Amino acid sequence: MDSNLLNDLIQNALNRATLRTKAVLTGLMIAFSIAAITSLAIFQIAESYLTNQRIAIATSQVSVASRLVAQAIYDGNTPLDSLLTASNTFPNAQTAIRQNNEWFVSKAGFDIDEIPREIVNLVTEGTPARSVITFGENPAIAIAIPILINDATRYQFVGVVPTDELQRTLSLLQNVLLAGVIFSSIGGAFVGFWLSRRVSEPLHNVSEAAQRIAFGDLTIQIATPSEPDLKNIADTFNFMTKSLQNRIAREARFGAVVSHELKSPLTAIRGATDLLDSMRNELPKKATLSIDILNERVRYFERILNDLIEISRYESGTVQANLEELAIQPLLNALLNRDQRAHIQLIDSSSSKHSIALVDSKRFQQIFENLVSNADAYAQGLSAIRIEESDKQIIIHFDDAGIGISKDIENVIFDPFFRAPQHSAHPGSGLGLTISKEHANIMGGDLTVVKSPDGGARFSLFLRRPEDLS
Amino acid sequence: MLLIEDDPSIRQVISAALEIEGYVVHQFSDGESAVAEIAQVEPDVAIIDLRLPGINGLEVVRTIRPMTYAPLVILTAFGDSHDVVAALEAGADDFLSKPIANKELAARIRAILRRNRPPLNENPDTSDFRYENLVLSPLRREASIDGELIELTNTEFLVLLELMRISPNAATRQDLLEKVWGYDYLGDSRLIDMQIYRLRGKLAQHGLKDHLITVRGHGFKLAK
Repeated sequence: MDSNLLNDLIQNALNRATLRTKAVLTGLMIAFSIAAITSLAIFQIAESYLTNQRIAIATSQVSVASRLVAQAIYDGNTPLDSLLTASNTFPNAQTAIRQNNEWFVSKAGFDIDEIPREIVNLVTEGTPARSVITFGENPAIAIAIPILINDATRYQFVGVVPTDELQRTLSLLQNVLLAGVIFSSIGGAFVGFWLSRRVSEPLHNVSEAAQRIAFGDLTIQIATPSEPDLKNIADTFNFMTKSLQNRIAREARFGAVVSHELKSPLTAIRGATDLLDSMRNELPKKATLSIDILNERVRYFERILNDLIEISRYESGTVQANLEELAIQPLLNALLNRDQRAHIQLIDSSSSKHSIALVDSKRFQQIFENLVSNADAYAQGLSAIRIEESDKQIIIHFDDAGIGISKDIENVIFDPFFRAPQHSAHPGSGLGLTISKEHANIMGGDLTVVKSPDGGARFSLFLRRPEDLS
Repeated sequence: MLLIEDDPSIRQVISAALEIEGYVVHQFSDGESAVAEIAQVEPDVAIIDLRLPGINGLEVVRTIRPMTYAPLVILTAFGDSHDVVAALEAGADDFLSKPIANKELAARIRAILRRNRPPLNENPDTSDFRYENLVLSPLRREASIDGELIELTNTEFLVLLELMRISPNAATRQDLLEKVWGYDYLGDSRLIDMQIYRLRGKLAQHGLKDHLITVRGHGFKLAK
C-alpha cells in the first residue's frame, strides 16, 4: 500500500476519533453545566428556606420557654437551676439563664463561652438576638431573650437549639443533587457519543467506500440512512459511483472500438507491406527503400498501438490475469535461450531450484522483454538476473552495470509517458515500464527499481508464491 | 485451407501470402457460407476471424468442430479477451493476434500442418502406445479404450500422443506447446489447459478418470 495513503488513513482515523471525542466532551459539558447550575439553585433555595423555617420554629420554641421561665421566676417557687431543667421542653435543646452575671445552665457541660459575645452583649442591653453557631462541634441556633421581672430585675435567657437534623437533610439533598449532576453528565456524554456515532457512521461508510473506489472497485454502493441530510450524502455518493462506472464502461467500449478499428487497417497494411517485401527482388531500388520505411514505421505504429490499448485497458480496469503456477528458473532459462541471451548470468539463490510463482506467462514474457530491451538500449545489456525468495514471494532482480537511475527519476520512472530526457533519441512511447508494473501488479506482485549491486539499475520483479507452497 | 474473414483487404492479403507459400486458400467473407461449404472443401486447417457479420467466429467454431478434425485457428484483434477463451473452449486449437506478419502467419500454418499430416508423428517408430487399457496408434491415427474408439481432434490426439510417449514422466507445458503447436518459444498456456480439459472429459467418458494429472509448476502426466 502506498505510504501516503496509509498516512491519510491514520489521519482519517484520528480525525474521526477527535470528532467523536469532541461530541462526547460537548455532551458532557452541556449536561454538566445545566445540571450543576440547576442543582446549585435548588440547593440554595432549599437551604435558605429550610434554615429560615428552622430558625422560626426554634425562635418560637425558645420564646415560649423564656415566657415559662419568666412566669416561674415571677412566681418565685422554684430555684433558678432546677427551673431550667423544667424549661427544657424540647429534645436536645439546652438553655441557660444569667442573673447578676451568674449563669445557670440546663445541663452540665454547657459552656457559655460558646455563645457568641455579640448576642450576649445585645441581650444584656435588653435586645433579643440570635445567631447560627457551632455548639460542641454540632451546628445549632443560639437565641437570646431578655427577661424583665417587675421592670427591675433583669435576666438573660439563652436557648440553644441543635440543627444537626437540618444539616443531615441538607447534606442528603446535596448528595442527591450531586449524584444527579454526575448522572446527567454521563448521560450527556452518552448522548454526544450516540449522536456522533449516528453522524459519523454514515460518513465513515462514505470514506470507506471512497477508499475502495480509489482501489478500483466501482461496484460499491452505500446503504442509505434514514436521516434526510445523511441520505443526501449517500445518494450523491451512489450517484457519483454509478456515473463513474458508466463513464469507465464508455471509455472501455471506446478503447475496444478504436483498437479494433485501428487494428483491422493495420493488419491489412502490415500484410500488404510484407507481401511487397517478399517481392522486393522484382522491384526497383527506390521502391524497396519505401518498403523498408513502411516496414519500420508499421512495426513502430503497431508497438505503440498495442501499448496504448494495453494501458487504456488497465485504466478502465478490464484486465484479468491468467495466473498459473510456474517454476521460475526454467521459465527464465527458456526465455534467455529463446532470445539468444544465454550469456546473461542467471543466479538462483532460492532454496529450491524450482521455486514456483503465480505467473501470467504472456505478461511475464512482456515484462522480461521490456526489461531486457531497456537494459540493451540504456545500459549495454543486463549484467545478471538474480532469483531470490521470501516467505510469500519470489523476487527476480534484473541487474545492469549502466549509469543507473537517479533518485529523482526513481519515483516517476513508472509513470505513463515518462521518458528520461537523455533518452529522447531512442524511439519509444514511455509506456513500457508502466505496463510492466501494471502486469506485475495484476499478477499480485510488484515491480520496483533500486541501485544494482553491479553498479547500474536493478529492476526487481516481485511475484506471489502459491499460498499452500509459501 | 479455409479462411473466413470479413475485411476484404485483410482476406486478400492473407490469401496472397499463403498462396505464395503454395497453399490453396478457400476464402469466405461470412460464417454461414463457410459452414455450408466446409464438407466440400475438407480443409487441412481453418483460419477464422472472431468478429464476423451474421454468425460470429465463436459460433462458427462450435458448428464446424464436430464436422472436422482439422485444426481451427482463431484470428483476433484481442489476444487475451474472453472471446479467445470462449473460442478455445468451443474447440479452437490455436489463435493468431492481429496484426500478424505474413512470415509469422506462414510459419504458424506450416507448423500446424506439419504436425497434423500423417503419420502424425515425427518419431520414426510408429508402433502403438499403451497406457493401462488405452491404446494409441499414430499410424492409423486412432485412440481406443478396450477396443472402443475415442473421437479426438488432431490437436487432442497430438497432446495425448505426447503424454503417452513420455509416460510415466511428465511433459512440461513448454514441451507440449513445442511438440503439438510448434511454438519454438513459450506460447499461451491457455491453449494446453483447454486441450487437457477436453481430453480429460473424453477419457473419463470411456472410464479412464483422474489419470491425466497436473504437475504443479511443471506440466502434465499420465499416471494414477
